[in-house]
Amino acid sequence: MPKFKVKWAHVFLISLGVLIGVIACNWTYFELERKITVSDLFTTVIGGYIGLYVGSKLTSKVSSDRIQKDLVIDDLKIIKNNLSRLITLFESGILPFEETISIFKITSQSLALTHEMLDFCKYNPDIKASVIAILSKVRAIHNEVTNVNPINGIISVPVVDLTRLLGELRVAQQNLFKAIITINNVEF
Amino acid sequence: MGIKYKLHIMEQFVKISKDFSPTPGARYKTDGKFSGEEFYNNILKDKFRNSIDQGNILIIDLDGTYGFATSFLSEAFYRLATDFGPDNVWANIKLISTEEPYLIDEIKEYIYDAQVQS
Repeated sequence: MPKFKVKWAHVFLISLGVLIGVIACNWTYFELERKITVSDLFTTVIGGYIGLYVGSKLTSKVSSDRIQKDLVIDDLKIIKNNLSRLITLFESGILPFEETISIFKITSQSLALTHEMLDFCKYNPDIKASVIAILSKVRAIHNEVTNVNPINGIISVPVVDLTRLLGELRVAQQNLFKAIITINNVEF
Repeated sequence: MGIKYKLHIMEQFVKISKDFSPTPGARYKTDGKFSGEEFYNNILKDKFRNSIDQGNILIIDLDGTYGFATSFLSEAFYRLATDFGPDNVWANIKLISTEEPYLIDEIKEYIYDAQVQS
């Protein structure tokens, strides 16, 4: 925050405090005692300390959870980009042998790593199950596509199968979106 | 030094990305370069035979390639299992894959497919 804004924020808060004080002193419903007992002082100090302690602990926990979420979401975003590349290839109907196999490998590897990483986080089992389901689907599509013999370096999948596999890839991508949103919204 | 030497003579080793190609191809030679058929005929068959003759285990490292086509792996290992017997093959090879560990189970299936189909 700029220095100028901080200065005016202080002026505003102090003015507000003085105003509340003046109103409270002149308010007929309140009676302010000029004395404070030891137990009141003790309660106030302990209350303040607990408030600060709980506040700092909560802030630290929220920050730690955010780091975990961001790590997993960053990985899932990379997988999402690779799935998009596969979808683009399937939409074009031309699957260059080496490129297709390479993207499948990177995608499967990333999914497997993310799955392992989820073991260290505190997410609910549904997210892990969702990542496993996407990995299984990607592996199944890889196995089907790369079992077809290439012609001149291009995998020639029949159009019917290509359309079906494209649909399955899109479902996998949607499930990935859902997983990202779920992780982002999850509360611990 | 002594232990390293012992391990070396007890195990045969194939790293597909180095000993064959970082870009393994498809099933047959007619499909293009670096096919599963070529890998079996030029490398895997002889390495496995030598390994068996010497009473060793053949270690096959799958890491370091751009990825494998299902047709490549199924052709190479199906042929190996057909020629030497699935149980014999599975007992005498050790597959390594830190990049794609799920490939090990898939290869085991291709090896035992030979038993079912023979």
